[in-house]
Amino acid sequence: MALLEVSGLTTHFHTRNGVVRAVDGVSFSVDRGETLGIVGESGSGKSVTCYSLLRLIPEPPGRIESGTAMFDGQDLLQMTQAQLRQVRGKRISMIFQDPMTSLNPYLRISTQLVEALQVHSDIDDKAALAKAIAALEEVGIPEASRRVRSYPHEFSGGMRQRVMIAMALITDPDLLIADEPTTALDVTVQAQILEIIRQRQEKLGTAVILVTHDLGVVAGTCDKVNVMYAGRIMESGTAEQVFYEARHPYTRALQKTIPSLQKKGQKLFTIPGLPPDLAKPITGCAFYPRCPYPKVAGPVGDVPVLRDLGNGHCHAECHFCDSTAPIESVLPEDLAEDAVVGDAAPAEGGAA
Amino acid sequence: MSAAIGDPATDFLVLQDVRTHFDLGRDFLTRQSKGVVKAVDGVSLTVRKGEVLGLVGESGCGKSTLSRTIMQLIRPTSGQIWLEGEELSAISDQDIRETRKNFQMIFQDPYASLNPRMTVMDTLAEAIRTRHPGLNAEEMRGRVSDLLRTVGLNPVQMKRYPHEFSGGQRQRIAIARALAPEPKLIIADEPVSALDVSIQSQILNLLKRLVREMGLTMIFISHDLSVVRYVADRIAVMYLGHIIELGSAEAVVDKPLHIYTKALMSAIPLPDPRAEKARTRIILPGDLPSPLNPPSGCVFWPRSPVEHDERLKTVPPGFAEVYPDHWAADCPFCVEKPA
Amino acid sequence: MADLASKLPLSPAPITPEQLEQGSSLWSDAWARLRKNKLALGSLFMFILIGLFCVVGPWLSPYDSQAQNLFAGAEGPSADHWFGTDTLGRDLMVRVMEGGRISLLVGLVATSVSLLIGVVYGATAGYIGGKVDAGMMRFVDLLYALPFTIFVILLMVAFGRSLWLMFVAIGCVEWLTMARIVRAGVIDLKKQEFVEAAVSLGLSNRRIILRHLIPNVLGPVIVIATLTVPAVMLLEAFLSFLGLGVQPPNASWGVLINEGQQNMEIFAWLLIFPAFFFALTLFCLNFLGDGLRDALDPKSAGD
Repeated sequence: MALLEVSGLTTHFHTRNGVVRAVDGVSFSVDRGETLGIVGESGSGKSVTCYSLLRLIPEPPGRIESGTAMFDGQDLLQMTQAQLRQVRGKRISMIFQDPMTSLNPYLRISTQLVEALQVHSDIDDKAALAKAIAALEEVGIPEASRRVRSYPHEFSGGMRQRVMIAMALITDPDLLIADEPTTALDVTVQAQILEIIRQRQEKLGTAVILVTHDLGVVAGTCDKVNVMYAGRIMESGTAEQVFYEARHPYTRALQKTIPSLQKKGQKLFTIPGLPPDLAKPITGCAFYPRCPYPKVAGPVGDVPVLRDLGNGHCHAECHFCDSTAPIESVLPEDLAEDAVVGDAAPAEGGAA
Repeated sequence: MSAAIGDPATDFLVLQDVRTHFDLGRDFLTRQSKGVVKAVDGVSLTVRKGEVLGLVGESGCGKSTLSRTIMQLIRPTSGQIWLEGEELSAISDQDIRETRKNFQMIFQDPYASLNPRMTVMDTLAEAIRTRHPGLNAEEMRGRVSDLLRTVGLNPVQMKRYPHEFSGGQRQRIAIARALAPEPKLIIADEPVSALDVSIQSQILNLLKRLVREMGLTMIFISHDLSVVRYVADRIAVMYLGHIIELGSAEAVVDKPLHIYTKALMSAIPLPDPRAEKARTRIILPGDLPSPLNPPSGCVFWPRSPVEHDERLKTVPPGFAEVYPDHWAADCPFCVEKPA
Repeated sequence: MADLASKLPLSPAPITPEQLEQGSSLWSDAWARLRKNKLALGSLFMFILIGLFCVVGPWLSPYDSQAQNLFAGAEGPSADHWFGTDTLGRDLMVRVMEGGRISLLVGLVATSVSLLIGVVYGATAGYIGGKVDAGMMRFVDLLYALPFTIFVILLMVAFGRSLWLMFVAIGCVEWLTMARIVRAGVIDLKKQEFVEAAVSLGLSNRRIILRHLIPNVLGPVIVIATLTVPAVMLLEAFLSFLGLGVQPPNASWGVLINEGQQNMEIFAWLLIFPAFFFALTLFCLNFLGDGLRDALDPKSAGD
């Protein structure tokens, strides 16, 4: 049985401007020791999905409408607050994007690490401190026994993110959720951090959910990938399936926009338009208005369902466009370029 | 060293040994100096007319300070800057304001770079007026619509406010504002890093088109070599206030000389699982040293995988033309010389 | 590139003003939010009513606020005198109206004075920064340290008592807080890229402060201003109570309440009517201030 089995997760935000369907019927599973990547652009619901699992959604305006998230036999979405506290930080840990704000600036690193330990286990101060120092050494912080006494501002961004990883892993959790852990960091530091997460995961057998907007990060670190758009999973499968045998138009288009895959001097492939406003109900395929493939049906119809190709590779089976046509042939050279960008529409649905 | 820079009289923009230091002042009680941040520490550079120069480096390398020094938003501590033969660094603080419209900047965060209380029309009109003060309302409307069309926005939206546009659209407005005063040089400071992947490519295409059609000269700053490779003609790699490599985009990306450039290249995650598994990464140890107390000698020695000798730990290396028009720091430990 | 304009594509057709879509500014968005807040809107309406009552009322009333009628002294509310009369037989309703004029005038004028000085001073200090900022803010600290009452007494002694001097005295105290708030806001804004963009256009400091900085700090300033008006009215009441403010036979709500409380055991209405109007105004302004804060900064409002 999988460590985490999410099915039909639906999280909505009830705002003044209407109901924002941030996550709309998302299902996936994570096995022990496995890394699942969730990729998507801002507003795709990738972060809200993870926050929903630990019930960290601000309620109101947010509300988990339906779905189950079976974690080791227990439904995270039905737990009492007391049960949740036993899970959070102990069996499921989280790392956030901004290492500058996720550590308390007024407390020493040692205090914060020891606290993380003592909340969940009966361990005396001395043993806890020793464990904290060991944890810092394991994430590659030099002179850990001296620097454990420092305050967060005495560390650089990369070092702070290492401290966050040490803190998240100090309780030896079964699952680590990393929400854009390297987005705020430089590329060379990003490489260090991803390497550390990989090493620790190998050693401890922790399952990891890595949320990111960067397809490159996913390719190098993840076993399985979910591609999200407009609150739904568009495609999922192993990294190789999603990168080399992409079925869904959005996955394909997204891969084609990455500059490092383009020849110099060639115009970059562009997905025209903007992501949909999630406060308005979406009928049919959410990607329809931006889809570069030839349309074979009108914009209305049933929401495409995820279909399993038999080997774990799923994609939202779209019956609106002909995705067998080659993508190049359907996008005129300058379709996106000189197009007057559509109506002014706020990009954010108002959701957190 | 001097060969790296062109002739101030004929070249478009020339920087010679520019240093921008920030004195942190003295401690209030002990009167001890808190130190000097050497954000830009001896940069010599030529920007050719009509080219896009990519400036690459990690946060804290001094690329933002360098760009603001070129724009005269920060005056250099020492060194000279010439624009079309005129020495900007010699202009007095009082008169410098007049020259600023020659440089325009496109900023990273499209949410912070537009005044939320001004309509698109007001924002652009204010910028146009710096060059054409006497336009009447109708002429101004005409120019604003032309600008908006140029950046791919619908001119009927000119009376709208920034918050009514998406991030990508705001970045287009910011680009239009940068074009409005008809500047000689545009500095784009990480113009796409705050945008979503699918929007990034729209903005990159737009910038490329503007460069091609209008013959803009641009300095394109980014931490992402893959983006820079795509837009820039030449690339300068910056580390700790110094330029450590300079050459054509192809040369720097495909045949990097400096070990730091190689590490930067290898750190970029490739969206290709098999290639990712196959490649060996150069993972640099440690963090960027503090510009408050930079290493003497070759700036890269504390993080270099190759041990430096004592001389290069103390004496700064020069800048040498390793291949024609491809320059790198003259440090035998960081740069492999051709046989 | 100097003739960049010539390289722009020629417009297919000139845009006429009628074609333009009107945007909605942050101000109009805030107004739309305020309109949904019944309590704040009701308070605004009530405040306007009180203002009209005080300003227009005395002209419609048959009584003169200073005409004494010792034979009709201290009568309770009646058909002739709706609010009753005071111990000197003056019509209380007219006195409440005229007192309200003074109180509201003090509140509004002193707040405006403090707004003007505070915003300009704070924005300048915050924008220029460095030693100028340090010097300007130390001066503010100095004034803060001065005990208010002694300061007013000194002013009164030096220049004699007058209503205008009271505006000055109160304004002098209230602008300090305003200046600090504006300065803090400007320092935050100064780091924003749109200000840097304005600098790189070569705009003058004056223009940057007026066009780019002040409009963006005005939100919190307006909220503080609505909350300053009642504070100023209380100060005026306090000064009048000490005998440093408005003096009989002129009246302000503070003076009337003071008179009323001296006789409250016998002639309760003398206290009740002015106190009611005073309290009502304070409530209105406070609710309005809260409503404005939620409307101008929707993130802080519990949605």
